[in-house]
Amino acid sequence: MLKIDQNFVVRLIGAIANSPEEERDLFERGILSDSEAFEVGLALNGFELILKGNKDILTYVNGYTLETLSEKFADADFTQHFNVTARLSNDITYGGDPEKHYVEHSTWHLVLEDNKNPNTLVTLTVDSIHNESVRNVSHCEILFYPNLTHLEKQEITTAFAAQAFCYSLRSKEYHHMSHVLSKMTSPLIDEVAVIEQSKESIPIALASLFLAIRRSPAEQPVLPIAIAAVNWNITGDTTAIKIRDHEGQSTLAAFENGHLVSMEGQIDFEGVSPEARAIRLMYLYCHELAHETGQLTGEITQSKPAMSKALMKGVSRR
Amino acid sequence: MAMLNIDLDFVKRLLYPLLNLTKNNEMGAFDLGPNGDAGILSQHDPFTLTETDFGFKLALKGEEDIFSYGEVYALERLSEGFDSSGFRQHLSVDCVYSYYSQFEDEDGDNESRSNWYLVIEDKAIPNTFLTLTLPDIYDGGIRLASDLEISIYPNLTTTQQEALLTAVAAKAMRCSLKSGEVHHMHHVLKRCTSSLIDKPAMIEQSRSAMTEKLATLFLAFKRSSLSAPILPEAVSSISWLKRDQETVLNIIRPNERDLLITFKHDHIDSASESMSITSQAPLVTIVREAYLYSQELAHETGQLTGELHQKTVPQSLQGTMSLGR
Repeated sequence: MLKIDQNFVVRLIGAIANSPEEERDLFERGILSDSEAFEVGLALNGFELILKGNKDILTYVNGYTLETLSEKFADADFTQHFNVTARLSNDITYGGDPEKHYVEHSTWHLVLEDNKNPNTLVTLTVDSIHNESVRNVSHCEILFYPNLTHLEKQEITTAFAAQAFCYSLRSKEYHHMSHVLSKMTSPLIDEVAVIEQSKESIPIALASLFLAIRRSPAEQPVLPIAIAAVNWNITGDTTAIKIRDHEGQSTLAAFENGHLVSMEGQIDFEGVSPEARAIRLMYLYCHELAHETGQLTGEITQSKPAMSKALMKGVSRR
Repeated sequence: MAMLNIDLDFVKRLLYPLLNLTKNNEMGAFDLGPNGDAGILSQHDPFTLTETDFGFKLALKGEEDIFSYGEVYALERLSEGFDSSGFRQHLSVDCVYSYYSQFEDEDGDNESRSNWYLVIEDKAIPNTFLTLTLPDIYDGGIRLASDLEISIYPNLTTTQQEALLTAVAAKAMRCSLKSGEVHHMHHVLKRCTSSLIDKPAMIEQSRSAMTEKLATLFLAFKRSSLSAPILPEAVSSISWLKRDQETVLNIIRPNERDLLITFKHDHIDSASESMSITSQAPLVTIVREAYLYSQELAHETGQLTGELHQKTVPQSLQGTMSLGR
């Protein structure tokens, strides 16, 4: 049975405020109010937990500090399904100050399952987090969904992930959007449905960009001269890309959930070296190919010196 | 047929728009500098012309700033100047390539850096194209005539003109991809309105500069299914018609006038009432969704026209559980 009592509140907030199981500490520090520290109300499809307390619960180190709490939640007997800081960078004007200040605002989105009450999901949202903000427990929006089926757990976690993704879309900076995607590693999250539920928040600039990319054909890339061959293999959420130069030296890049997780050698992946360019091109190509045809593995070799694809080659002097 | 003649007059004609001058009011602009040193153009050998595979490279010499930095897109506004100078503009785009905090000015403020790409055709010598690039533009930076990278391509066929324009547009796109900011990339796309630019080819040529993060995002969008958006209560129906680069959306609302919105090249060209496309209001979000849906549908199925109607979807049939209080 779901039991939301003081012990539960202490387990949850202790993990966030870095006071695990130190009940007295949370009250002494003013993180939880001495009287009526919490109340439970009804919410759509579940319950809402309203907390009282005046002291800051978050230690702001950088925008992603809260994502590092996974172990704390595990110690407090929760299974973490989703934990992301969705960032929205903003220029903010303070009260009388005419100058705009660049402030990185973020919202924290967390989905936990209570190991002591299996199939009970807890979602937690804290908004307006930045290095000057004070966030106390009353700023935490905490909802409970007890006795869920697996399908319902998927739906809730997916909808919650979509909320986080919508938030990052507003930043208009794709590295923030990509960051949220990179945290969707739980099998409970249906990434396709997340995108589907987020489409209404896509800025028109991003939509234009994607439409332009989508309209361009997925053509097999021409390898740079320095690369002899590239092969790839997609297995589940993992993609391995191996590039081989003419001396037989190989570089292996591994991606998980669409993000580079390892690369041999000293290649600057964002750089302009032939290897970096080849890996970027191949990554996109092999996934488009997989999407279009279902082909999960393949190889491209340098059969002849690469011709520059720049159509400038077609411009010769008469 | 007029012959290509690159002389001092031609060079001045090219610089007039940047200097906000015309032939009739140049009034000593090309004289020596205040200390007797070289001005906008050197008095001695102001330019050199080198033959290349495709035509010519034109290198200018000068030691005075050739334009005053107003704001990042100032150079794009010179179209009329080029027209008055006898050139037809095919592409003019300022591409911001710097990302946040990459460059800071003396006060520690974020500094925006950009490259300017221009493709013009000489009206006096049709089918002769010029490309100009001015790299590393920022507030306080000094840009000399010698910083202009100028190439001249005479006697181009239409296919060659397309190839040239597309290649320069791709270069601009690759430049903006470095910024990591969607609105800078979008800005470049928005400037690619010339029918000589092959956008799919331009994107194809830009892919090598696409970061893994953008690729991941794009692939996530591509994998999502194409489903018709559900209209909010405030909208009765939306119909659309897509023709080439233009799409018209007609939004019918109960007790209100119809709203007609025209998109050209994926950007709002006109709307029968003012609206901010970046707003999160239900009307605006459905316009964005419907536009995206119409374009994806056209891409996937070839369907160029369609209509969405208001329908009540019971809670139990909705694909997602509601979150919230």
